[in-house]
Amino acid sequence: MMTIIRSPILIGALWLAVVGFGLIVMAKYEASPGISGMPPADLPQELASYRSAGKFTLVMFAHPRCPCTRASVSELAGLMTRCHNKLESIVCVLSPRSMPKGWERTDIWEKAAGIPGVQVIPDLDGMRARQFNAPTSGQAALYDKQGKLIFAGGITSARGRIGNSQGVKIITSLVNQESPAIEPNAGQATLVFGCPLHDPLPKPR
Amino acid sequence: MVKVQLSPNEDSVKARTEKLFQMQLERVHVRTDKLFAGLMICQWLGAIIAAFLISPLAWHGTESETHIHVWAAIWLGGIITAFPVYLALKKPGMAYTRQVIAIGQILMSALLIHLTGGRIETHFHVFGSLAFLSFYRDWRVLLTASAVVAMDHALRGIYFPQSVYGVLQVEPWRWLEHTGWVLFIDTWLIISIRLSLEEMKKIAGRQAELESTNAQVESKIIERTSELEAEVAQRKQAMKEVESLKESLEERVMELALNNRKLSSLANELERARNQALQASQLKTRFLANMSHEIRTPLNAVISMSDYLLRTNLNREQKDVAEIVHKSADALLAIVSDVLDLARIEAGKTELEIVEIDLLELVEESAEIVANRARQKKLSLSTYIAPDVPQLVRGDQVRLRQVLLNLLSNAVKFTDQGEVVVKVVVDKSDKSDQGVCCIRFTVSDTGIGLSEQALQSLFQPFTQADTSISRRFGGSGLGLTICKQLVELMNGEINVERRERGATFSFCVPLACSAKTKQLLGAGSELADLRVLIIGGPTGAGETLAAYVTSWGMRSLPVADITKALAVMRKASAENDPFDVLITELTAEGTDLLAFCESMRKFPEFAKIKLIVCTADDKYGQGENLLTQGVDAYLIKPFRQSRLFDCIAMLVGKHLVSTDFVPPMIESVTSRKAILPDAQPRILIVEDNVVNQQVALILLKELGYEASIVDSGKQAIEAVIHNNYALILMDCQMPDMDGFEATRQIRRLEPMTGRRIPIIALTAQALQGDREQCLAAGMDDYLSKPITSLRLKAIIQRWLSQPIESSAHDSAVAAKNGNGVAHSATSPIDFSALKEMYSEDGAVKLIELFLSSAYTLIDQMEQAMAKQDANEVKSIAHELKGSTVSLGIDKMATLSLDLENAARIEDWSKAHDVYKQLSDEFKRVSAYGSTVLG
Repeated sequence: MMTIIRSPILIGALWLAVVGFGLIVMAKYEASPGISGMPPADLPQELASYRSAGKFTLVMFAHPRCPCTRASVSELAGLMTRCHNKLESIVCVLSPRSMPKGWERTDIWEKAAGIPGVQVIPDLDGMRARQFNAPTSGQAALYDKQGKLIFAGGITSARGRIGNSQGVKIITSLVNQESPAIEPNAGQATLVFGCPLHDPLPKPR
Repeated sequence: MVKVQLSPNEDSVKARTEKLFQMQLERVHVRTDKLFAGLMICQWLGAIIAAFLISPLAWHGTESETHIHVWAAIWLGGIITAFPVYLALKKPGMAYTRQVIAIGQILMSALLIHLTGGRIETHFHVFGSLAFLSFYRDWRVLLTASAVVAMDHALRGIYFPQSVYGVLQVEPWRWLEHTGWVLFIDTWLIISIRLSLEEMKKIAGRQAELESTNAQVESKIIERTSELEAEVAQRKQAMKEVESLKESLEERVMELALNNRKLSSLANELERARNQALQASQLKTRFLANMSHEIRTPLNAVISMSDYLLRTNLNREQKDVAEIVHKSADALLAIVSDVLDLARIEAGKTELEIVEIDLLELVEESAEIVANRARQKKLSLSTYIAPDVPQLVRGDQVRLRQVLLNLLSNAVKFTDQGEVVVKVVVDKSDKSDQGVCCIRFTVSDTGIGLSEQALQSLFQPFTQADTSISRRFGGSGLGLTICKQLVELMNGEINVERRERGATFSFCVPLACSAKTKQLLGAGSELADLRVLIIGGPTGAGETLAAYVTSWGMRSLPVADITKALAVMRKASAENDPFDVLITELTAEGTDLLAFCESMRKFPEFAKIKLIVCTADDKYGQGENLLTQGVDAYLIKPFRQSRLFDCIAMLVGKHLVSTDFVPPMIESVTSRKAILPDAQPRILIVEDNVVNQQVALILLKELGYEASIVDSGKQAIEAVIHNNYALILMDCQMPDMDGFEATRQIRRLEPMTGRRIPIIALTAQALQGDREQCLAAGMDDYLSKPITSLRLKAIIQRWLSQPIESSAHDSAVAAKNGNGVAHSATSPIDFSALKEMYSEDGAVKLIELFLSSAYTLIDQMEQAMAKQDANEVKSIAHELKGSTVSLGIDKMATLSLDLENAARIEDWSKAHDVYKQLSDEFKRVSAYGSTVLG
């Protein structure tokens, strides 16, 4: 028995198995999306003041401390570059009143605020997110020039994953009018990968 | 320097190259394993840090929890890292270790990509890992890593395409694109690995060759080292042997040293024995000399007395007795002389005295000495000296004459009838050096001859031909022995030959030719071409005469007898070349000669021929008869060459007389008539010692000479300038100016005076070389102290040619010297002897003089000894010695000599001892002297 245990091949195999298992877990975690909802079909009036005429408007919700959202902000930066002068974005960063002042002012805020064409606004206690039916950080909603919802979903391919994603492709295509608009009730086009924006519900006693 | 031949084995080098390569590769693997162990641990820590920095928490609204990435970094990263690190540490260098490391490294890349959210930058970790893995220089590792990458992408493409490609739907070949890029990298890395491996192999090859060379060099070094070690061992062995030999040698040296000590001891003993022997020999010699002296003195008395007795009126019986006594004493004297001579020769006391010799004179004079005895026996004694014999040579004349005389005496003694011929020729067989020729003297007789047995022992001492010879002819048998010893002393040889009748003794000695020359007899004379007819007698002497005559330039013709002579003469007259001189022997057949003379006179043509007759005997007036019978002259044999020449010259009217020739009567023997001086000669005594002065003065007065005394060399010179002395007795050692210097100055004065005074050295020392020193200084003879009357007389006679007519004195002296007066063993002075030698008054005076001077000398000696003044002590001791020797105070003389010698070498210990003895002895002498002097 000991000989078998001490056999390098056996140990190697065991090692590979454990590592493989770990990596699979990791992959599964990365690929597991958050909950997403359908935003309103028209851009709400209170956000209209943030948009410019003749431009598409992307509203994205972000948890200021979610690691995965950093990837979303990065993808947003790329998206803004690809859709230059055609797209404006409003990033609503969760700002719970229960948390200390400035809690929301993280690198995510700063990074998003630094992207040209992006306006960062605090989302007090996630009220806006609730308005947009967006429970997960990273959820985005694209409105056309007329304020009509043409896309809803995430813009990353997995949790915290930077790089090609289906959401970015779709938005780019829509903004550049390279593809037709999605039907507002057609459902979500892409999965949203990020931390939940709302506190979990208390467990029933 | 040792040259190493290297011939590396290629197979072994290849094998070694491979081995080295593998070893180096293994080292690379091990090193890289350890590198990766460290790297992977660092990566793991980096992953944890990254997780904490990038995604520390997962949020749910305002609530948070630890992010799964943190746990994944800790645990999954730890698991990924653990196994490869374990293998790297525990199994470094193993192939599976690096394969596991390759897998782990790529998995770690995957984890890091996960943790960093798939950042494209993190993907470079994969390429970096591949590059890092290429450190293994094992392409298989790269393939394994690449395979993991490919598999990861393939599986992700299938199961989680969005995690790799960002989309849910992806083409199936998409993973190949990623894998292709990885393989692209792998390709270059593999090429690099291959090149690196080739380099490694080259390095290994060089190292293998180097090692091989080194190994061979080392092998050679070892081989050479072993050889050197062997050499060193051999040298050590040799050193040991050398050490052993050295020890052996040291032992030998010690033995030799021991033997040397023994030899030295033996040499000392031998030296002592030799000294004793020498002392004994000296004693013997002294004894012999004394005995000889003691014996000869009474013998002389016996001879003189018996001679005197024979001249008195004796009856027949008394005369016979007296003659027997005379002859016996003569014989005894001869024996004693022989014994003394032999003793001297054997003791090595005889030294050659090299002087210039006129050989003709020597031989003819020797012949004349024995001529009387030869005539008495009617023997024909003739001499012949070959013309080529050098007239003047250098040698010991006395010894040469002694040998020649001995042989001549023997020849005459042992020959009753016939002749004795002496011939001197140059021995041509001898190859002497230039300037030296070997002269052979031959004495032939027609005597009794020798038996073969006698020849063997003839030169042995006390040996004669046979015992009957001794009875018949007498003699000691020492003569020939002495001759042999003397000839050998002169580096010559002597031998004897038997003849049909008689014997021939000859000796040959090398003699140096003198630088001086003597005018040859007849050289350039008017007698040249004179015609001489020689009639040889029965002895064949004609040839000798002919040789002489021819050497003078005359024409000679020897014929055997008268008849032939007459025929030759007639023929010569007929040819008008008549003979001028006729020389003939007077044979026993005298009548024939008379008849010949008569017949000669009958022929007028023979009237002018001068007839010379040689005769051996003139005893009965034969010569006078010859003159009356028409003989012009006669010569009594042996005659000198000069006499024959003068005789011929006189007869033919050429007055070329070479000597004191008195024609027509020719005397055969020249007697040396003493020419008496007009006045008694005066003798100068140069002596600083008053005792010795008195001794010499007394002795000279007794001998009838007048004498003057001076006590230094300077006074002697003054005396010579102002006086006319016949002879000087010169002491050698004197203050101010010694005898040698005084002699030299006197000799320098002589050219002015035109007269040469004989100077006789007086010295107390009878040392070797004294005589030579004296002669070199210009002295003529040598007289050692104590001076005796006889020796003084002899030496004065020799130099003044004045016989002292004092037979009474001789007798007295003889009585003094051989008086047999008892010398008291207890008395320090032999007063009786002194009294008899110098008369009582003289003896008393001498002792008185001695004591007064000796007191002073002893006092001076004491002071000199106290000051240890060597020169003063030596001088005083010498003076004391002179006085005591002259007075026969032997013990004091000996002690004085010892003291003088001790002072010379400054041996003060010995000097004090000797001085004490000398003092004591002087007290005895003084006491005895006081008694004598009353």
